[in-house]
Amino acid sequence: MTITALRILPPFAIGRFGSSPTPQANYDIEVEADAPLGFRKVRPRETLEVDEATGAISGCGVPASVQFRDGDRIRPVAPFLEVFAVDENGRMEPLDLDLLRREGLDLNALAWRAKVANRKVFRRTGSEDDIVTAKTGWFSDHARQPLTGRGANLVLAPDGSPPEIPFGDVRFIRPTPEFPGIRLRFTPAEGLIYGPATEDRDPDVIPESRAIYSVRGDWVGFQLQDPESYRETLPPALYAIKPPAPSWLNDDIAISRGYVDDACDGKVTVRLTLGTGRVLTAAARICASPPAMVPDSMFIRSLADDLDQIVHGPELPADEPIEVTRARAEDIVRRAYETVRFMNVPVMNGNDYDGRPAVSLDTMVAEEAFDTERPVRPAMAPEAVDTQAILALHQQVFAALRAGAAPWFSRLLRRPDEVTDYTDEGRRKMPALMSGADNNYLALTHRQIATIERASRGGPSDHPASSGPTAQGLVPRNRTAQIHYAALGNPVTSRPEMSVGNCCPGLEVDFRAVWRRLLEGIVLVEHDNFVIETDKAHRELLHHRLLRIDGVPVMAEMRGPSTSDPDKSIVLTTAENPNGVSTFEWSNTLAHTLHNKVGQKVRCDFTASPAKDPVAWPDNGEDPPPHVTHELRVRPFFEDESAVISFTLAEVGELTQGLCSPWQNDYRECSCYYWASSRPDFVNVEIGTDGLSRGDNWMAKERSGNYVADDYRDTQLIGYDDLFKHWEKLMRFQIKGRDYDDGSAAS
Amino acid sequence: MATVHRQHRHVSGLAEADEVQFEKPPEMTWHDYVVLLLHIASGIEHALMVQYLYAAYSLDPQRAPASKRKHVAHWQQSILTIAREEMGHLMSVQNVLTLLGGPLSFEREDLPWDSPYYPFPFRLEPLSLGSLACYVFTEMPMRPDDDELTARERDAIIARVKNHVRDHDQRAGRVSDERQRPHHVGKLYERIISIIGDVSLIPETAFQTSTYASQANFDAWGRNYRGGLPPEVAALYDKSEAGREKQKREVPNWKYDAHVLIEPMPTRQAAVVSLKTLAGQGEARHLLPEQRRSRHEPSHFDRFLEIYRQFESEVDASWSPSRPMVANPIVPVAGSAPPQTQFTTITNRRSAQWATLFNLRYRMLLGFLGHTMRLSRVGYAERPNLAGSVMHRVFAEMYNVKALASLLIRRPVADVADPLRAGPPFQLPYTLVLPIVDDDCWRLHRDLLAEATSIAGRLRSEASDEPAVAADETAYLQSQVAADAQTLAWVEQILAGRNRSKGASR
Repeated sequence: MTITALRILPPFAIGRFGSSPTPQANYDIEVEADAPLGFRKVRPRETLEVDEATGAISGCGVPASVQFRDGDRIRPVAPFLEVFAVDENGRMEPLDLDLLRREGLDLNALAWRAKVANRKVFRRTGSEDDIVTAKTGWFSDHARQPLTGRGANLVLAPDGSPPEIPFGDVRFIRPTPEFPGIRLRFTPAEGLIYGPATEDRDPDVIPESRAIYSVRGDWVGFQLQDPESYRETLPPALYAIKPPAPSWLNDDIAISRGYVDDACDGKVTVRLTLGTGRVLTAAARICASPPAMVPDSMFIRSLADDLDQIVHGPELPADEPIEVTRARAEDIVRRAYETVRFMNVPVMNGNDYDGRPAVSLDTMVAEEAFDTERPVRPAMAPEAVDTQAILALHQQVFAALRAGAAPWFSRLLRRPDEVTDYTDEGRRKMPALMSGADNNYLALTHRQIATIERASRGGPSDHPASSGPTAQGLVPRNRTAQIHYAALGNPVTSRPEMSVGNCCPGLEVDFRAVWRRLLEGIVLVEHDNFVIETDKAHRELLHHRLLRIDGVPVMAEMRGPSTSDPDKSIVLTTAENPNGVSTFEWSNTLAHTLHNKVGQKVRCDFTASPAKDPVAWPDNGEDPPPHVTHELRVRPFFEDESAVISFTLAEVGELTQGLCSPWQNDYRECSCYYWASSRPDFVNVEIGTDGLSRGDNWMAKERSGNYVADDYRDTQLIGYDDLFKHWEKLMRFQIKGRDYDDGSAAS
Repeated sequence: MATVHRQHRHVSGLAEADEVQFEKPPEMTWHDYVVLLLHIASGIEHALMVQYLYAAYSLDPQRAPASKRKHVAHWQQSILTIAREEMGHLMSVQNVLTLLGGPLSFEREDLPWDSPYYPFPFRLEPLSLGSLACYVFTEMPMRPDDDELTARERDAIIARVKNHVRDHDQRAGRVSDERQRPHHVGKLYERIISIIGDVSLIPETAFQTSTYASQANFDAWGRNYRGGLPPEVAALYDKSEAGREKQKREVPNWKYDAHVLIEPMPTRQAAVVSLKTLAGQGEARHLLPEQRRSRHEPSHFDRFLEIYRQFESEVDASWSPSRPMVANPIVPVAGSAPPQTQFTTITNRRSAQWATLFNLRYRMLLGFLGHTMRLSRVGYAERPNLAGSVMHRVFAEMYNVKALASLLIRRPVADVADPLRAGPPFQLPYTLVLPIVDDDCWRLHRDLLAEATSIAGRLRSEASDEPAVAADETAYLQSQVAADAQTLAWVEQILAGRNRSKGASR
């Protein structure tokens, strides 16, 4: 073959923190045929052992069981990235010693490099000195290459530790005759917090060795000033602040403690110099993120769903066999009940709980009430929201689907343009009680919705199920196969299907960040239609608001029930949001444009002048606000022909810059309890003798079977500082819906 | 159905009249009488609902020529919408009964006989022009406007109804009673409303206002079916009268979502408005309260008439939109007399097992329905309770009924080679009366679940004889058995709790 190009697979690999020296063994999760409604089974898979001294794979075996921690130390997920060669006929095959030999090459023809960054502090302060970057330079050996984060605002620690944040390492795995493939391993950092080099820090959180943030920088004591409010994240603050926290319950005062974590995202590049002297390169993305605490469940909207929509578009092909559509619909319903399982539905519904008013409990409906300055209203009938009862109903839908019966519930799905509908009908749509990337109620992707709609229209088939379309396999054009590629040794939690898709801000990455530069000439805020940067040609658009793209509005009015007329709704204005409008999440809003108009110019309407307050294009035929129209070109989403998210859209470090700093904050602070695969709410759930569900709050320090209502001040619950100090010990894995602490077999 | 027989005893002698007359028998009080009429109304709503479901299940767009498939899909959607709204009517009638302190009723006519109140003989059959004519007539306003239905078309529909009924009578070996006319259901509601609205007949003290919180409400039962059009369609029309008229003219009825009317009612006036609204949605537009008329929503009559006209013009002898399903399928009962000829016995052994399972789950649905209504009388509505959980079981069994129907419509009624397909029999059990003691209700649920599991086990033990549906049968049974195991564990846990508390109290 003639090698014409390279690919690194997977194109996006997720590493997960942990301080155990033993990396997480490989495992997959699968539905058991004889327990289709049960939890997915954790199946140990072929696990690669890397010899520390040589960097070669010294063994490959399937462990008897899967262990997630060693005592108080969590095993890090350290994914491998494999290199594939593309030939002149468009075929892909693994690049290995044999192929190199056939090409007259050896390992010296290969080199790797990596660059990662943590831009979380920069995202808030705007100071480039706060960017912490690690670069390896090209390397061809097989030693661990530390990813040493450095930044202008890092200083020598009081104990003499260097001004560096270790982001883990990368290692070119030495190919051997037994394991001849060319692969790199990314081992993430431990999940530590670094902080100010000052005396008044809490030494239990920031020991001397990690007190490296300079007092010269802006981060310690940082507080966003009103004129800079466009730099605010969504949700606001999202960083460790001086007590009391959270800020929104304490007069919106958010003074930074100056904490920085060792999360990062970035790029690994492989280089192959051919005998002709031609140099081929390929890249992939990596990120370091928190562990998936519920490894046997998947969330209803994952990053893979968003990527799937980007690759295939928001609609389904007309000729897709109904069996294929229905199988996908089944998967969505399964993930729906896997999501419900870990929610205390009555509490999330906005019921009062244990004598405490719903407004005092952190829920999506309470969030909605805060945002709209309205009283909390339960979303659904308060008496009909027992978790197990709701779960059973979802499972019954699943059983009906499996009988070939059309589900008929597609009309109950929330459309992406209905996320700001806060009427009773709007709030009851599915998925219910959870936040989306825009802090409104979560909607599925257009493509997921189209899947359910198609399945619901299909009706039962009179013909035996076909085997579906022939799989295209791993070819350069099949981006889906590349995105989902399961590299040997990589557990499922390293793949996008285990990454939450309702990113507000997100957990593994803040996926909203990829849309900021989709339109050439301007940069948007990841969660807003505010133009934060422009190129020279579009300088006049700076601080304007984007109203429509290709005729599609990007904001909508928030509408709630009219008290005087139940058939009507009103716009929910507040003093802070006088127009009562909210931005839609970009992923769904831009889906059609991205699918149809890449490389083309599209009409974009902006406010005619800079606009601090949100402004929407009216959807009721009223006159639009004064506006100007520009034609902007739509950038491609992927790098060249690959399945790698474009580095023009998001530079190294930008996919994680909108996340919490430190990441532990998110586990305490997120009000939405929406990450079934990562951050459960209701665990150890059982049916009480009253026929109703009972269980523990995952964040409770002691398990009693009595759910402790969320309360930032309640010491029964894991608090901010508990997480900062002892997150690895306190965060408990869940298997089959129950605490899984013993580290014994999950097989 | 003994109950239905008894209902009819009170109206015997009236059947010969051209139009049903509603005269209170002397042995009944007005309260009794209106409760009886409500029971009959409930039975009619229930009967219509299952007949419409059967008709909708029978439709298969794939059988239509490519250019007609959308029509068939829209017909199916529209009929299902009507069936959902009938469910709302059924529940609203229960609310009125609750308000009046009367017993609830989920019974319905089970046999294809005529009764003076039922609009046409009950018959589960695939959709045809004849059956459609029956549905149109049933839902027809007593005085339709000329611009929506000419006298000529009306007469043609009535003639078709009579022919349809006569044909089936002949096939069943029965002599048609030519004096018998199909009836409008609106007449019944008119009578109920006139009695309830008359303070001299029903005193204020008859209304149990405190039952308001225990009545079915939209939040719990409505499934968000608020009616209306998709926003993108609604946006095309302004809210003026001219805009509404334009919308009415231009937007096909199938585009309107179901509007499930379920409102608890605290007073006589609320009951009257509620009954008028539901009658107006169905059969008696003239009863619709003024405030509801300003919002255009297709009535059941509008929907059926639209389908009827399209069916008449689109379907010819070369194709049928319906699957080749039998009418009135029943499960044979060992040792019993041969069924009457208007029934079709499901003789395929495996199909009969599936149909048995269907009947059982239909019974479970109605059992859970009765139970949740009873539990809601004692539950505290501000937090999760068993009434709410049992209500979800009702919806779960609806999904089950739908799933089983989707299998039965693809299964042979007799020999596998015979193209004729079975269908959901919707046979009622010997009684729907729940045990007096609540624990016994739970035991009943437990036993029925166990029986369902047992039937499912038998079905799983043998391979399917119908390749077209074999994979779906396997997948469904696998999931359903697992779901039933969970439900059974839930019921057992409740019973265990009851036993424990009894032990503790001894």
